[in-house]
Amino acid sequence: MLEIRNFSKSYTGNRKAVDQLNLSVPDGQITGFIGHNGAGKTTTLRCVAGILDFREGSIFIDGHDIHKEPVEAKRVTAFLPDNPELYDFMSGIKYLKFVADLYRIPADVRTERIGKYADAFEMTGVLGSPVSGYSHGMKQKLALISALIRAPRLLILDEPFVGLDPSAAFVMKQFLREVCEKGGSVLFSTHVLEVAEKLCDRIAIIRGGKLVEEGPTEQIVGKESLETVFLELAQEGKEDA
Amino acid sequence: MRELKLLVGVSFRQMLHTFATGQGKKRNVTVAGAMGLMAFLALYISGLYSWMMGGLLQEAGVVDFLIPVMTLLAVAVSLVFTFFAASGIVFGGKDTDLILSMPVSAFAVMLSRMSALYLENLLFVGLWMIPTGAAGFVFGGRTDPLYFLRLALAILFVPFLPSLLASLGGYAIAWASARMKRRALVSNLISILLFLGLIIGCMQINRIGTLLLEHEEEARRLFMTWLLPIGLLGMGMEGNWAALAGSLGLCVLPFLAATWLFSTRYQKILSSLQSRLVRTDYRLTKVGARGPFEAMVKKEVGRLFSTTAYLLNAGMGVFLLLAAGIWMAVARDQIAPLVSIAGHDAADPVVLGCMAFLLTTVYPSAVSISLEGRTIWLLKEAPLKPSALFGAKACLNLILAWPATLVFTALSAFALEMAPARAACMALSGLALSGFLAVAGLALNLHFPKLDCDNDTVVIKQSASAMIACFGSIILVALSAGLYVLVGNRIGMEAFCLAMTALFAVSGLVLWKILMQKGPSRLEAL
Repeated sequence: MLEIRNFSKSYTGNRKAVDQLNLSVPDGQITGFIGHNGAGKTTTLRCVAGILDFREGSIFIDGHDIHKEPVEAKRVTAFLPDNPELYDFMSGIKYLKFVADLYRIPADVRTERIGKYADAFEMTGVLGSPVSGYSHGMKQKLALISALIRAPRLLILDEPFVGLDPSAAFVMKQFLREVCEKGGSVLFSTHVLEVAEKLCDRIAIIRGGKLVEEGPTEQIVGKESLETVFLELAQEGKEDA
Repeated sequence: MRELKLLVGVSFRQMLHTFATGQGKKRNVTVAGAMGLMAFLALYISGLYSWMMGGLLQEAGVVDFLIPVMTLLAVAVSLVFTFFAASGIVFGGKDTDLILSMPVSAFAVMLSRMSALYLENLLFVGLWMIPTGAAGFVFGGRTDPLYFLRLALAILFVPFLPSLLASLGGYAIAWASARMKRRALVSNLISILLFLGLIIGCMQINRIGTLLLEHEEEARRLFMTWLLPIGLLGMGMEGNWAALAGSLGLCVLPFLAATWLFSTRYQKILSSLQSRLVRTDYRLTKVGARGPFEAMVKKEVGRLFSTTAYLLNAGMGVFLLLAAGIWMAVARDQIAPLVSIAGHDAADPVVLGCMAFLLTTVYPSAVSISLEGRTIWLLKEAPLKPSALFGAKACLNLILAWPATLVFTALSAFALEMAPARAACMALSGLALSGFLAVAGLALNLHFPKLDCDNDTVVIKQSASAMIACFGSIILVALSAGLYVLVGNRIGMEAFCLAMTALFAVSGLVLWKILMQKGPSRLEAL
């Protein structure tokens, strides 16, 4: 589903935020993207979503090169940023309708999907209110609903659990699994290692912009916990530095 | 005191920041460019009217009116610039939570906000008062060097007046809209009413000198009652230090009093503005569908009408065009004799020039990318073709400008009894100019984006792209007018209009093609 090849991204000053990253996210699997603050997770996810430009390497989504066929690649992708800023002047339903229009979702399909996801996240009653009145968690849920109604082949989420109440987090995990059951795949970054360990089929660990571990969760974790593995890798990084 | 100084410093830097785009040298250039444009406008208008009125009043022996009248105009024009910004700067701003959580008094916060307004007014009024002061010195036949000290004091203190009035207006808008269900609609209506009042006032500006001479006694009485601070300033500039002190006091003391009064209710005002009722009784029904382009256009229109400052600043020309067209149609009988004296070949080009000038003040596309701000990720992530994305933004300009152009042309043709062929050519040139300005505004905004502003008002009013779009297109119209003087008289208005139509259409298409090629990567780089 997602193929990242020799991907590097530099910001001003030539410091490489991501350096020669290779990562595959197979169909039907949830991949957790883990790393310390500033490791390059968000940069990678934003480049995959087509939000940030990059010069080195290539990113393919469902066979479409994000550089050469951005519209086709984006049509099968949904991205949820860590702090979703939405249009304050719209109501929740108008926002969802706007997104549905951009993704050309037919009228009957969108009504059914909005109903399904808004009910699940207990958002239906507030969809008529302006987004400006929403709490952070409500905005997060609305952004998540807007991502799910597209029935994406690839769902990219940056710190999706931040700001969600426990029941919404539970519902979200179910829907992530549902995306995979339908043949799609999920790539998400998180600092909540317990969730990653339980939810993810695969784990990718990034440190200082470089991918240091990648593979099936049970293989990465082995007999230890993900937390122990992560901390050991972090310690190795400090020693190398 | 230290906290106050810090907050005022932040406000001042915020004001400069609103002019800035890019990094390093480019940033400094955009700040200097935007300030330069504002300075030019203040100096030009003030210089023109000060000298015109100075001569007229000197002849009539009432030159002592010059300083008060020009100061009154400075206050009025400056108020126009800051009135709509006040509700955003003083009672809005996305940093209010941060500022209010700090261990500083509400008075200090309020004073820093009011200072931002004051600093903006100081820039405009200060520059306005320089030619006025010079005209007062020349036409008043003064020799006293202390005159310049008094002028400097006036420059420093007069800006408190428009700041006070703007903050009161901003408070009124914020207060009213906080209590209404349809805030944007109420806010738009209040602002449009104020704006219409302003237009009527502006239409009388050229008659001020004559009105003064006709109603000298009433004017003197007015300057000693309702306009006392300005009346006293006039006396002060004549050398009466007590009157000057009184005037300066009347400028600054109400400003401080209002600041204190607002500060006692600041949190309450902000709370009422921020607390939006989230209803929980929405029922989902069938959700309609439309294409991506239509969705984008609808979003752009929704954005325009939900932000009063956006509608009234970037769409100002539309209201003015409609008002001017209606006025011409209504005053047709008064206009007809003037046209018959001047002739159509003199009157019609003036109307064409006015239309072109007003169309230059329609510039939503020049701020539409900046207004995406932190929500720009939505557009970058969406599978939108550049033609749909940029087309929708340019389309907003056309939705506003094209109907207004056609209505204005029809009404002015009716009022002036213009030949249909000439009216059609005039309409075509207006449509082509609007099309060109829509694309040029978009290109400008991509080049000078401002995505990190704390409130929308500053993007709309003060960002580099907004200012270049507005003033740059005025220069474009001025050049076109110059071209008309050179060749238009020879080839005739119809041919000139068609030539300009072709020029704007071709330029617009070329620019659009460049935008389609380079725009997406430019947008991605933002």
